[in-house]
Amino acid sequence: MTDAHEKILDAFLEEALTDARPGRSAGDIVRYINQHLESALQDAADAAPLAPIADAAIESPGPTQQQPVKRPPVEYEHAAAPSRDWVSIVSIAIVLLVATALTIWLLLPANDNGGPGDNPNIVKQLPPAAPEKNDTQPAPVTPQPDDNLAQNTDEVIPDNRPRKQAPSDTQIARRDDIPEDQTRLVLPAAWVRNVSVADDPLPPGDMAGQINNQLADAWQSGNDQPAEMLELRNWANRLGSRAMGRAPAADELEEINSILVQAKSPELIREDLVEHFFNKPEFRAEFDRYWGQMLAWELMGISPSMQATDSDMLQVRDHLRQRIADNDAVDAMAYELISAVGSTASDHEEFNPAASYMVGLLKRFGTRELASSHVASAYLGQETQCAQCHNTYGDDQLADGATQQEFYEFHAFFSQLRFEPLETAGDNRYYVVNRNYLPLAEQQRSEAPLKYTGSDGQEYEAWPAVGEFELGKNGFVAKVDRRTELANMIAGSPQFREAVVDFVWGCMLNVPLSGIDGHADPKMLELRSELATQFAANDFDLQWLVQTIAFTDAFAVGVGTEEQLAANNPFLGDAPRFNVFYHRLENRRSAIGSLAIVANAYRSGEVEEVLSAGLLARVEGQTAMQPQTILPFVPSNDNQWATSPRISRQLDQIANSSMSRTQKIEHLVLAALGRPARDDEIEQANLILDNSENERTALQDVWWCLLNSVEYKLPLGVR
Amino acid sequence: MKSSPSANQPQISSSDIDPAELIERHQLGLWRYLRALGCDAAQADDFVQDTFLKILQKPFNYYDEDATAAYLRRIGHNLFISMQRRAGKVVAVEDVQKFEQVWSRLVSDSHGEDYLDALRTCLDQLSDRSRWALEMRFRDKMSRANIAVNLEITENGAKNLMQRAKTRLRECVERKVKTT
Repeated sequence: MTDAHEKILDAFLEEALTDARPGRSAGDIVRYINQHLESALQDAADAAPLAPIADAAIESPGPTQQQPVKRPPVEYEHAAAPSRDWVSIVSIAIVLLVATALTIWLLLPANDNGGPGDNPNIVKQLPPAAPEKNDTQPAPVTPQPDDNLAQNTDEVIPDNRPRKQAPSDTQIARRDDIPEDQTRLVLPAAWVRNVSVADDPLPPGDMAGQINNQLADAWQSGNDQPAEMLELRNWANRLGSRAMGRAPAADELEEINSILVQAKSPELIREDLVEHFFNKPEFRAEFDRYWGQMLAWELMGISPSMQATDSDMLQVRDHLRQRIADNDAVDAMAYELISAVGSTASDHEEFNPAASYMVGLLKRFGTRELASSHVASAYLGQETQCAQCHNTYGDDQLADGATQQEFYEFHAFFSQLRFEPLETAGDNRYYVVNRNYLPLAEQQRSEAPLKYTGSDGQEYEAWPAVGEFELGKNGFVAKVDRRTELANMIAGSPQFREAVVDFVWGCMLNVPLSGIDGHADPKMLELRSELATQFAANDFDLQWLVQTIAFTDAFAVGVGTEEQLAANNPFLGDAPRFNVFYHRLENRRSAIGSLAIVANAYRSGEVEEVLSAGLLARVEGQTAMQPQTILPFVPSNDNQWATSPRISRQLDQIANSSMSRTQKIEHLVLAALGRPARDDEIEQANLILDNSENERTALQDVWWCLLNSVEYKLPLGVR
Repeated sequence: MKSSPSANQPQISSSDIDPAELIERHQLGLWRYLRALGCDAAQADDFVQDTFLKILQKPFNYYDEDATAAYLRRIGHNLFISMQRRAGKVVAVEDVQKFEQVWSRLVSDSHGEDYLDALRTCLDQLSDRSRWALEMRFRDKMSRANIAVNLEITENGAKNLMQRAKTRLRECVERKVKTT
């Protein structure tokens, strides 16, 4: 690790020896800020109102008679008209800030420590607190002003909230238990990364070099012959599909071809290709979109075949996409999702897109227990779900590793989590918030155990804990915010970074480093650990991780021979060593084969039957192929890409162009396969066009044939 | 551990703060911090103004100078990292927490004037040859090879000379900072 003092000394030395000073005065900065404020005000004035939110079906976790929480809107500072005079702008901004603060102050309850300073929007802006983290033990938390906080005998503040009964974990806090003036958010603590990595950060190429050495050792010791390296053209196709979310299109091939023909080593050409893909805005946008979706799916337990369109999932996906576009660190994203509080309605003043995560999890899994166990699985790689009913050390001996006690201890981190319905323009939206968890009688409120019935029928108690990380027994949010502490722990844990590495590796190479169903090669686990450490050293940068994996030999090898695959096939229980690019055996379809199927269908008049059989479809916007049977590991956004408006427009352009029919076919083949069309392919495609009344439709079918070809999919690992 | 600055300290709404005055008070300290992170002077200028833009776009509570300076440094640090990465550079990121701790320990006045004074005093205590080497390196931006030629020593010798000089400066500055 570079010495911090040395860096400080260098900077001051330069200043001492050169008398360097800031190049801009405070006045310059004020003018700069005013220009931006003015521009922002203008943008806000021009902005269209937000679209209404689609209905979201969720089983309300609370009683049906719950009253919706209605929150009066606050004035936003950009509501004022812009001015070109910077003095006026500053004045307006200040006035609006005061107005905002006053509005919030008026809307919020006056409590012991209340007032404008308790506005969560303002608290969020506080300087980060000095970290005093204890790695293993729950840290005592300084009492904070909180209107939810009830008085305990020692240090908590009283509240007058009437409680008809102490809530249990399975009972969502009743709205009539929480007075209107006490519904304010308790925001998660400002997050400070708590990860110390001894290693110096390595650039992707260097780290991939280390991985390649380890892979070579593993292959040598296991007598695994690596498959031939992919041709660079196919490698570029794989890179586009697996790292950026889509293969290059025809109009993008020219630039790529110019890189491929350089008189350089394959390694340098790969570097140039990666640089090209990551620097090209179109691909960078695809990268953000693709990984935003993949992460959302993974973290919400949604498989591509589910074709989820749930509004909360989409909100989380879009949120993650934006975070990735901003180059935010992955551990910060995880912390944000797990600890999120706020409204899931985008027109609400406390809107927090990350809050949709917990709502989406509950919808996806149906019960709070299953939702929390998915957090353990997705973020820590710990499968605990079986232990909900089966106890490793109890009668059943079925669960692998986790005990029932451990399952409920993890679930106890979510005992303060509440979902409170919001009524916003008829939408079914929620307010995600942490509330005091007080299951016991008033005299015992310093303890908040989660009670459960064990597999032996006995009643047990659990407090929030995972591994050696324990939070103590207190259920008051202001004493211990259980979910936030869990988020902190997860974001800083080695298990989390290994889980991310495993996931990204699995997305790019079809099989994670930890193998399938626990069949892992120890050398690959060691590799995962080192890659995870470097991922942390590189600031949890997703772009770095994807580039590093792309530079590995595991990403460059071909699919190998059947013999090679038979010798090491993780889908048949082998521990993967990545000497071949793993794939699932599917029906082989060459471009000519697919074209012939459809051409024959056209000739026999059975085109509709063939198309509706799941092989191909020509209906815009619909899923053309059954992802679970044909594209098990090809991201379904390949389908989306194929049916996207952009592709649709391109097909229109091709159909309406002055190109000859053969040229049109050649164009499509070039776009899909990156090579000129062969004569037999042109012949079959012409048969499709001959037998179709609509050239545009026929061209689309030709396009689908090409996307179904083994040549298109082979570099992706699907046959 | 969570702690809230609001627990014991009075709060001043941002409306009570003159933005120009705030910038004037914290610009230099933030600029120096960004330079220490690795920005050149022009980059530091850019990040300083973006940092103030970011915090003045939204309300924030003022507690004291140190808390505000720490907050500004955090924002500046984040901007620096994200813009570097957007430029496609792989950034060797210091552990922000550790860097902040060292900065807070050494630059106790938040702006760096004390540190700079201590450093100037310590520079005067170096041998002429050591100081000349550092001047060539930091003032004249000369390559190590050229410094070695001027000093009539090997390149490795020049490296060692500068490294030893910097070590002495570090120790000297730390002593002085501790004393103050």
